[in-house]
Amino acid sequence: MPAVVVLVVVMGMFYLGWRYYSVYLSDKVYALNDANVTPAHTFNDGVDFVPTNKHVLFGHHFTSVAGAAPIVGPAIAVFWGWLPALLWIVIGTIFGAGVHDFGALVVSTRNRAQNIGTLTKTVINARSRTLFLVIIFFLLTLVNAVFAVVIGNLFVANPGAVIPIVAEIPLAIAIGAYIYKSKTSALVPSIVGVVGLYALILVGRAYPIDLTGVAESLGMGPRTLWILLLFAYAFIASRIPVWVLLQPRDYINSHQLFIALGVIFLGLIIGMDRISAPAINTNVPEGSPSFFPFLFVTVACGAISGFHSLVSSGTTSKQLDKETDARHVGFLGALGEGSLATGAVLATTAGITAVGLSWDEQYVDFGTAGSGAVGNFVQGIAGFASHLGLPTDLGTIFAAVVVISFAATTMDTGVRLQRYILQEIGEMVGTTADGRQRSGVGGSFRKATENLTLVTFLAVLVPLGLALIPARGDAEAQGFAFGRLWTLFGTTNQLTAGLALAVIAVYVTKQGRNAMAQLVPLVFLLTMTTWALIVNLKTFVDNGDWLLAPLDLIILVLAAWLIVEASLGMQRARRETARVDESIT
Amino acid sequence: MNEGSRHRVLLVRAWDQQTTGASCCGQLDGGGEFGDAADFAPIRADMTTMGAVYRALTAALPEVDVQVVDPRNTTWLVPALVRDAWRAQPRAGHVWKTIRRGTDPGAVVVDGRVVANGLRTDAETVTQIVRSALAVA
Repeated sequence: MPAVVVLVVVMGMFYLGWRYYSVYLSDKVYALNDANVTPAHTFNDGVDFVPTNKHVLFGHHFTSVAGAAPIVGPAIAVFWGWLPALLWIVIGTIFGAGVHDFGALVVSTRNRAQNIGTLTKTVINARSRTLFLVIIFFLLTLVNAVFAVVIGNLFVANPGAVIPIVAEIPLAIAIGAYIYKSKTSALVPSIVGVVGLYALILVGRAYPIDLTGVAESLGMGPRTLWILLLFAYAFIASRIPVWVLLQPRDYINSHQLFIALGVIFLGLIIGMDRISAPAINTNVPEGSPSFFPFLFVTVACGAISGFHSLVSSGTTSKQLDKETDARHVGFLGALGEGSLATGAVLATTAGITAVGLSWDEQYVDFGTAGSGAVGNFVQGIAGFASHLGLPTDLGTIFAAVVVISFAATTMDTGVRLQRYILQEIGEMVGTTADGRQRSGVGGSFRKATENLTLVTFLAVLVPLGLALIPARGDAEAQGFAFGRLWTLFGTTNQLTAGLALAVIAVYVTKQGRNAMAQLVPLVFLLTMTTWALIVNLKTFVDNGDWLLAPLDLIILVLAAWLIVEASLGMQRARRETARVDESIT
Repeated sequence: MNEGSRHRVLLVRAWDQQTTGASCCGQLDGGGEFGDAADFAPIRADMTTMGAVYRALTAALPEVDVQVVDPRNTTWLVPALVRDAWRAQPRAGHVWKTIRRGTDPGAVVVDGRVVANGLRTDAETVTQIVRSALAVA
C-alpha cells in the first residue's frame, strides 16, 4: 500500500477527532465558557501571565511538546506490523493524549494556573504529590538510560555524525553568547548555526570518527565507550547554566524539528513509497513479547505522554486568553505529536525500502527490531530525503544528527531534572513538619543532596548502570535487552500520564460531569502497564536480571499505589458531588 | 486583548522555559514544577523589563492588540512578520529588515514595522514611539 494513502487516512482521522471529539470534550466534559476569566487576565502582569492569541500559543506549545521519544517507540513497535502501531497512535492520540493534554490545560487554568504536581496535591491528596515525584524520578532514570543507548547505537552506526554533533556544542555556545551579549536577532545566527551544522555533515562524512580501536584497547565495545562518554558529557552539561548551552541549542533544534518534519512528509508525498511491512506481523518468533500489552508501553510518547501535562500546566496555562482556546492549543498539540509518531511508522515501514533495505530482515526478531529501531528510522528519513535530491549517505547522517541533537538535549535536561528531584526528595525525607532538618538517615540524605557534585553524580550513576545492561551478549541479545528497557521506560511514562488523567477525572467528577472520557484511557493504560510490568518481572526473574527485576517491582508498586489513589480520589469526588446534589434537592 | 482590532503590536521576548528536545521526557523552566529560577536569570531579567513595556502599552493603548511572542516560536513569528511587513510596505528589502530586526530580543513591531527595542528603551518612551507609529499608520 502507498504510504501516502495511510498518511491521508491518519490525517483524516485526526481531523475527525479534532472536529467532533474535541468539541464534545470542550462542550460536554470540560464545559468551557469564555465568561470564565483565565489566569492570564486575572493575574495579567505582562511577565508570567499574559493573554496570548491562540495561534501564537499553539506555536509555542507544539514546539515545546515535540521531542525524540515519539520516534523510538513507533520504530520498535512496527515489529508487530504497521497496523497495530498506527491504530494505537491514532486512538491513543485522539482518546488519550487529546483528553490528557487538553484536560491538564483546562484544570490548570481553572486552578490559578497551578502546575500538575501541585494539582495532584490540591485535587487528589498530598500523598499523590509524593507519588508523582517518585514516578518522575524513575521515568527520568530510564529516559537517561535509553537515550544513552540510542545515541551510542547511532554513533556506532553513523560515525559521520560525530563531528557535526560534537561541533554543535561550541556552535550553540557561540550563538548563545552572541544573542545574550549583543541582544540582536536570534533568527539569523540560529539559521547560520543550522546551515553550519549541516555543512559539517560533509566534514563528518569525509572524516568519520570510529571508536572501535580505542574501545577495544580499553576492553569494551564501542557503544559502551560512547555511553560512558555521553554520561560524562551529561554530567558536565547539566552543571553549565541553561542559558550558556541548553537554551541556545533550542534555537537550532526548533529549526531542525520543522526541517525534519518537512523532509519526512514532502519526501513521502513526492516518493510515493509503498509500505513493505506486513499490516500485522504473523511471523513473530516464539519468545517475542506479545503486542498485548507491550505495544501500549512501547509506543508511549506519540500515543500519550505524561510530561505533556507539565507543559500544559506550565507556561501554556498562564498565557491562555480564553477558555475555549484550550481546545485549539491542547488538543491540536497532541495531534502534532501523533503526526510525528506517524512519520516514524512510515519511515520505518516505507522509507527504508527507498534505501534498499528489506523490512523482513530489519525486523526479523524483537532483538533486531530493538537494536535497529532508531537506525531504521534514520535510514527511512534518508530514503525520504533521497526523493528530495539528497544523496542517501548524506541523508543518513542528516537524520542521525537531528535525532542525536534532540536525544542529547533530553539527556542533558534529564540529568539536571533528576538532580532537582533528588534534592526535592531529600528535602521531603530530611525535613520535619516545622521545617527543621531531621536527624538520622533522612537528615543525612538531605545533606548529601545539597552537595551539587554528589547529587549530579547520583543522577548519572543509576541510569549509567541501566544503560550498560544491553551491552551483554550478542547483537540480538543486546537489542532484546534494549527493547525490554524501553518498555520499562514506557510504563513509567504511562503512569505519569495515568496520574494526570486521574487528576483530570477527579476534577471533572467534582464538577458534576461525566468523567468517562478520562476514566476509559486511565483504566486501559493502568491495565496495560500493570500487565506489562508483571510479564516483564517474570522474565527478569527467570533471566536472573537482578538490576531490572527490583526496578520493575518498584514500578509495579507505584502502579498499584496510583490505582489506590485514583480510586480513593474518585470515590471522594463522587461523595462530594452526591452531597451537593442532595443539598440542592 | 482585542483580536478584531486593526493594529497589532508584537513584543518579542523569550519565556524562561526550555522549548525543544526534552518535553516528552522532561522540561526545564524557571517558575514551574521542576527547575531553578537561577538557571534562567538573564531571561528573567528581560521578561521583567519587557513586562513593564507590556503594562505601559496595554494601559495607554487598550484598543490595540498587543502580543508577546517568544523569538524561538519561529513557526508563528516569522510568517506573521512577513505578512505584516508586506502589508506595511510591499518590498523585499523591508520584509527582510523586519524579519531580521523583528526577531531581536526586545523588538517592538507595530503593524509590520520595527519601531523600538524594549530592552534598550524605557517603557514610557516605547509607548510614545508606538503611539506615534500608530498615528502615522
